[in-house]
Amino acid sequence: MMRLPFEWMLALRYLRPKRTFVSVITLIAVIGVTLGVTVLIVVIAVMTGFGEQLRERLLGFNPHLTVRRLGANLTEYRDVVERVSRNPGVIAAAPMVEGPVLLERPAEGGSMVLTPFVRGVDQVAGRDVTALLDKIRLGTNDLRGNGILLGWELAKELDARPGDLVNILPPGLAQRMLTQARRNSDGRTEEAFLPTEFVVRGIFDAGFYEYNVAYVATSLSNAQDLYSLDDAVHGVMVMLRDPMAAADVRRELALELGPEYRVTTWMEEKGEILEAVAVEKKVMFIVLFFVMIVAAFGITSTLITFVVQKTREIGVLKALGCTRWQVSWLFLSQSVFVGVIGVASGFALGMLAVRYRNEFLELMRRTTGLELFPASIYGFGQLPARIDAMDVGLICGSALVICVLAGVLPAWNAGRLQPVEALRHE
Amino acid sequence: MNNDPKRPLLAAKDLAKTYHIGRRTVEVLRGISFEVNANDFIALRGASGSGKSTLLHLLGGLDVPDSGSIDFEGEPMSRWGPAKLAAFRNLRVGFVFQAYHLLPELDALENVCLPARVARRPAAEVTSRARALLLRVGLAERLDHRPAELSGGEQQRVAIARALINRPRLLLADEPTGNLDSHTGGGIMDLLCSIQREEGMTLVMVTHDPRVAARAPKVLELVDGRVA
Repeated sequence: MMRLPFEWMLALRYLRPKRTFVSVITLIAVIGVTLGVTVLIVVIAVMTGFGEQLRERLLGFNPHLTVRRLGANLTEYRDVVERVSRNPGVIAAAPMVEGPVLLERPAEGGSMVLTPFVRGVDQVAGRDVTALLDKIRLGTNDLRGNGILLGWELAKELDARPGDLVNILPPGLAQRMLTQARRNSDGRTEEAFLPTEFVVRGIFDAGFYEYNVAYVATSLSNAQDLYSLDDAVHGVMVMLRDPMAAADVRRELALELGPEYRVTTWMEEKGEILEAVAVEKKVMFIVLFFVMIVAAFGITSTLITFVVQKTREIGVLKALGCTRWQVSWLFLSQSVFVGVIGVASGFALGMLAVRYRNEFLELMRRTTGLELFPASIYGFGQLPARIDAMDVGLICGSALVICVLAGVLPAWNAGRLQPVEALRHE
Repeated sequence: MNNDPKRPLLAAKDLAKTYHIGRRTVEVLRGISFEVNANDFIALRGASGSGKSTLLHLLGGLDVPDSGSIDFEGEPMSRWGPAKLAAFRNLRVGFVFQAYHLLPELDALENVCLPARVARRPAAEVTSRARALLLRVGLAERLDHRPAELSGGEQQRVAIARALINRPRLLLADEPTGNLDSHTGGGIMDLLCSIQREEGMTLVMVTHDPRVAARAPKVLELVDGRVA
């Protein structure tokens, strides 16, 4: 203790837990800072985790890049796949067919018709560009023959299980039926158009309601038949080593492929939702930081009270030769200590809360019946969270700065006290 | 450093100080001049409100006069900035107050060390000098006692040791026995007198008590803000 500068030694003595009014309000100030830091760490970690999980699910289902030919289908897709695969940032590339279809599930008492998107994927090459085939929740991912996979929510809506039959009517066929219908009204011969029958082989869960309700998947050749594409495809899906570098790779591929091709990134196609989460995270940070500022006001009022209480001692310190800076530093170090203790305990508590968040939520649910994050709304059973060192550093650092700033005014005032007036203070 | 034997350690000239309390104006000091030589022991005697404490505060650099000047070792104190005044109070002057003014959070040893810690002197050296001083004032057994655990006389002894830690040239004592019974006060006066003699210090003491003032070889009487 004697080795510390006297300002620190005195400041620490002032903070010693004694049952005085000052130590109680100091404790309240510390608790304020602790809670502020804890809440910030937990909320930001959950939002980071949520954003990452969202991105993971988006990227698991969506290709990182999509190559299409302007105004036409891709017939030379093998060449495109080969050229794209040469780029060092590319892990895999595979052809795809994707478009809306009419899906009918025959049932007693009338059939049910929905309009999902069908995605045709190559059973072998497609596996490298979409995690869809690995996300089967019921049945298998066997797309041979007339096999089809349904999204989880879509299957629920249709009450379809593996082994059931569904009919698919592509838009092209519907158009031909319409033309036929017009001809019929002219009294010409009739021609029958039958939808293609598919067997449900499996139900996938992409982890995303929007995908689970709006997508079905089949083999590339089936999808090509549905759209009467022969050997052409709609585009090429590309998977990258680093999804965040999509914009750079796109630029390289656009140069490599030429102006007749259009390359789009996942960010352009599905980026808005991630952007929304990122903006929300920033807003949360700012809003919750006000908790910190309120806590800092606690430090200010504690120190003001303390300086008034210690006025005579400040006079003594000045009589003993303390400069105004030494006196100011003595009181400022108190706000530094309060800040350090508050931030450190807030950090510890925040990390613990993030670590045991699911246990806590489970306990809440069991004891009060309250579901803070219902799985039906948020789409995840476990609350996601990820501690980002930068975020935690920013939270702790800025909290500390705010705490120190909170002490500046009272400390400055303490330093400015005139020794004689301070000594006479009753 | 002034080592000229002819020059006084402290020279006060035409000191005036007025306080404004609400609308009332109180002229506490009305042109005081006197000199203090090195190794002097001077008592400033006066009734309550005669301005003796104010004068002591001016001499110790705790307050500034409205007019007049104080020279310390030939240097006019009015020219010193706040930092130099603080260094003056820290190193050249030792204060002993009527109410002791020890810091309640620190024990006796830490209180004595404080002015030296303010001067950023090495802790080990400071501690050994503080122990020696507490031994000198008769409190060797009380090093780790807080002020609240010490009697009034013991607290004043700690305060005297604290005033001496930085080996100041000038000791200023403001009613050092004012809060003590006559027996304990006598002991404190014995201590102050012997330290003044042994260390060859300059001691300026303020008191209203004629018996205490009589211990000083030289007594200045303050009446209505003037030296009588």
